[in-house]
Order: sequence, then structure tokens, then C-alpha cells
Amino acid sequence: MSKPSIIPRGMTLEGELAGEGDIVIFGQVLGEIHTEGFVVIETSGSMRGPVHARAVTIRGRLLGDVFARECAHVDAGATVVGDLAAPRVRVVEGARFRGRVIMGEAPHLASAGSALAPADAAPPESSARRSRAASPPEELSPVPSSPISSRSSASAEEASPRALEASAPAEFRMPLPRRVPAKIRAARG
Amino acid sequence: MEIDGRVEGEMAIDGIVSVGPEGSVRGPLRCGALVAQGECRGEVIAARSVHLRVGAAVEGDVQSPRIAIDDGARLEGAILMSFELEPRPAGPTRVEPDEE
Repeated sequence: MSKPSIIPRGMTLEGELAGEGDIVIFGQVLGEIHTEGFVVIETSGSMRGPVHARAVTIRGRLLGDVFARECAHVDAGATVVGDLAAPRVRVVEGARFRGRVIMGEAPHLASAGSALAPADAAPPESSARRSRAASPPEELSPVPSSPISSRSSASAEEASPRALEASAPAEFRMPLPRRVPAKIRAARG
Repeated sequence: MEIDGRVEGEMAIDGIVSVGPEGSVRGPLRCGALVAQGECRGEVIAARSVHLRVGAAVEGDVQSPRIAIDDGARLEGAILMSFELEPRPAGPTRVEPDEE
């Protein structure tokens, strides 16, 4: 069973979050999120930057684009300025949203999550079923032991830090120089 | 007004336009409110609200103060909702309101 990584209220993370687990944001994130799991921006949470994830739920505030392989959900009370790229998009009445909705299949989603590009090619019906079946995080299939980058732009220079992180037990790596992206692995287990 | 057939051309209606599952609207649509379960191709401007229900397939930009998109509705286009981003006291998340 996996626990989500939480950015608590009052905490600001500047940099990049990358990993496989779920992330719940009560505080602030300024930067990027790349995860194989779910991302929830709670009512008190705010995020500025792109979010690449399996599924994204926004109840707080997001200034940035969403690239969700399965679905994007903008709840009532949320404020989103940015594009939503996902095969399924749900916007609840009362949400404030400005941006494009891109529900097309593979091309842009493949660029958003190259590691799982083949899955993106599946027809929408099957991806819908898949996401429903996978809804509770506990039912997710085990994470591959080798680090997977969700980005097509992941380059060789990132490979070694990622490998180091994979062996490191700590979730938070401190101290962090202010301008260097903070890489926090979304912990599982 | 309920549309269960096919309508082509520009439409401007003050009231509620309901596009049924079999309905199809091709052309710019201006209305008070839109509830769509069918196809709409063209820009939609609704003075009050837009509700895209299951089965809706909208191609074009949608402009309205209130918009709801149900899971199962399809939209290819932009949502244009006018609102101001109130600056947050905490600072760093602040972004120029005119991000568009």
C-alpha cells in the first residue's frame, strides 16, 4: 500500500517533484511535477507550473498546464489558468477555468509521458475502464524497480542523480541550494 | 429551445438551448445557456452557463461565466471564463492576471 507524499499547508516547494507516487498539495509548489501517480491540489494548495501525472484533481489553484494520462478533474472552487490535456476531463460547475481542453489521444500525451506512451495509444473506452479499475491507489500495480522518467526530455545528466535517489531512503534531500531544482521522490510504501 | 435534429448556421437565442443526444449544431451559437448532450461545432457564447453532459461533443471555443463539463463529454477547444486572479498574500504564487 502506498502513501501519498504531502506538501503541507504553510510549506512552499520550489523546484521539481519527480517520482512514481501520489502527491497531495496543501501548501505551495512552484515548479514542476512529474509523477506516475495521482496529484491532488487541495483547497488550500496552490501550484504554479506544469503537472504531469496519471490523474490530476484540482480543488485549489493552479497556474500551469495539466498533462494527465487518464483524467483531469477541476472541482468547484478551483481556479485553473492553463491547458488541460487528458483523455477525460471533468469540470464541476463553480470552478474557474481558463484554458484549452485537449482530449485527443496519443500525440501530445506521448510527449507528456513518454515512458507510458504505448498505454496512451489505447482507445478512450479502455483507458476509462483502466482508470476506474485503478482508482484506489492501493490497487496500483507495483512500481518497477528501475526509475522511470515521465519526461521525454529526461537526459543523461539526470540519470545519475535519479539512480542515486533510487537507492537513497530519505524522502527529503536537504539542504537545498535555492536555485537548484529540488528533487523529491514521491515515496511509496 | 430543444434541438434534436440538425441545425446549420449562426444561431442567437436568449433562452436555454438544449442539444439532445441526437442533436447537432454547426455554426456559431450565442445563447443564454447551453445544455449539450449532442454535437456542437463552432464557437459557443452563453451569457449564463454551459453544461456539457455525457455524449456532448463540442468543437470550438466556449465562452461563459459558468461552465460544467461532465465526465464523458468531449471538448476540443478553449474555455474562456472571465475572472480576476486575486493575488495571494504569500507572494510567490502571484501571477500577472492577464496570463492569456
